Amino acid sequence: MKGLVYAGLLLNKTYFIVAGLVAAAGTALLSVMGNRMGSDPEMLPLISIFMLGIQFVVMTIVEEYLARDFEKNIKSRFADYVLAGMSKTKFVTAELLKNLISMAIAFAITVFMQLVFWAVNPGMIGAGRILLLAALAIIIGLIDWSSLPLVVYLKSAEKAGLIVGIILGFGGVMPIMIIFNLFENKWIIVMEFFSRDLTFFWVVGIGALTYALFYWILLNRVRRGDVC
Amino acid sequence: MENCIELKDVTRVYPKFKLNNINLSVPCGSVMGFIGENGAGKSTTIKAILGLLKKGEGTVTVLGEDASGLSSQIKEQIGVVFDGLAFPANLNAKQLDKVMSGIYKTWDSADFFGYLNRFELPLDKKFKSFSRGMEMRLSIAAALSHNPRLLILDEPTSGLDPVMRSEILDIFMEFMQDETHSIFISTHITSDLEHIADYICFIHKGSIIFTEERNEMLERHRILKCTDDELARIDKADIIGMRKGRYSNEVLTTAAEKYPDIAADAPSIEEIMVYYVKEQ
Repeated sequence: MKGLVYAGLLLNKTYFIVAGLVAAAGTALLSVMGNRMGSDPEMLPLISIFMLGIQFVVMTIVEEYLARDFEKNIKSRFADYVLAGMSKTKFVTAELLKNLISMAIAFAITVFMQLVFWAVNPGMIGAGRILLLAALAIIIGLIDWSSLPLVVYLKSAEKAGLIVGIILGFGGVMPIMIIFNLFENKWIIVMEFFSRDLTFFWVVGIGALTYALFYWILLNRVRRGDVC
Repeated sequence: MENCIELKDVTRVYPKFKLNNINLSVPCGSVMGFIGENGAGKSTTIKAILGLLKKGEGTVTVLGEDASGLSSQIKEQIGVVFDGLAFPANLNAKQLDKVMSGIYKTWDSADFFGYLNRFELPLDKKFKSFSRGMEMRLSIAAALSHNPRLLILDEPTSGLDPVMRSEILDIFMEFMQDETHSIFISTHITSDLEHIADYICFIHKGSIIFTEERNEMLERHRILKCTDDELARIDKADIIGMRKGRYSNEVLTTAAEKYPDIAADAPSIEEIMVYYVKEQ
């Protein structure tokens, strides 16, 4: 099992390197901006949002390879070779470990970015940001994880990602748009949901359940055979 | 355990192909050659043996266990070579060693590097720059390096020059010196089977045509070289395959003793396969 995880991380280290470079460049740029504009109370929140955007990009880069690596293994028949040598449960668990390790790497890089940013701009310290980064890492990891059964079906990470994106768009963005249009004080309703009702622990709980659900779906698909 | 591989009434249906009622047994301690033309179902049968296909009719048993749920212990005992490189192209041999040691508990790095040295394969070169022959040698080295009891090989000598093919076949014979070892080998290069196979199984369009002990198969079949008049005398039921020439005809038959006055030659495995396919 660890052989499959090792192969995945080794073959895709370019993504980690690129994410590190983007993280370094983004942190340097925004730290300089924060330092120069730190006295202006209106600028720091804006810079903080820019930082969050770059952290989101870094996480996406780190976790981008997961579905593509899975597609390559299927198309090259490496998945068949591995399945001939290990149990289907171990195979799926190895894919889950790749996802979780990548999520941890993404989280670690973005926390490091945040610490550097805070060191340069002490006025911006807040533990809530760390929890937000963790929640983002879980959500991005979950999006990749949920696409893997579709990758087996479609033999394409891009098509699978497109379908997941469409489902999330209609399942996430559309309801918010509907709330905007149907309810007065709609902004308050949405913000209360995200800041009060959807706490970090809700994200972790729902995330864990969803991970388990898609683990079961992927395992059953692999057990059915004809993966490659 | 009498048979290391058993397929009973195995049927798998796909949109453009059907593996049809396959019955096949590989006795323990033997080498079975699995022959058939392109698209006959050899690779699909191998995938069925390894439990990689969707479930269907029939049962597949490997080393005493159901192939659809092989335990890790049994999987460790099976060495596999697929047709073409099945490893990520951006790895090199040193990295593959680490990957494989994380997959197989019985992985032996010393064995692996020993085979790489014997096959003259580089350690630091990425597989994407390997030739076809190098890819096959690498696959064979990996298959042999975790102390397997059973080798399942799909076109293992494809792309190899005659010298390297001979070397590989010698390694397979060394492997078979242990009487508990078995080999199931699918190949187009039927001349290789003349040296190592104990049994020959012929598959055509998803169906098994015959499974026989090699010497018996070669003894039973004869190619009759006959004129048009002699051809007319041969019972159509005795004709397995036929090739009509300008001056003479060739007929593959298992009933040569019925035509003692017609010249008969002993066929090779390749010729037997060609005549069966031509007639079909």
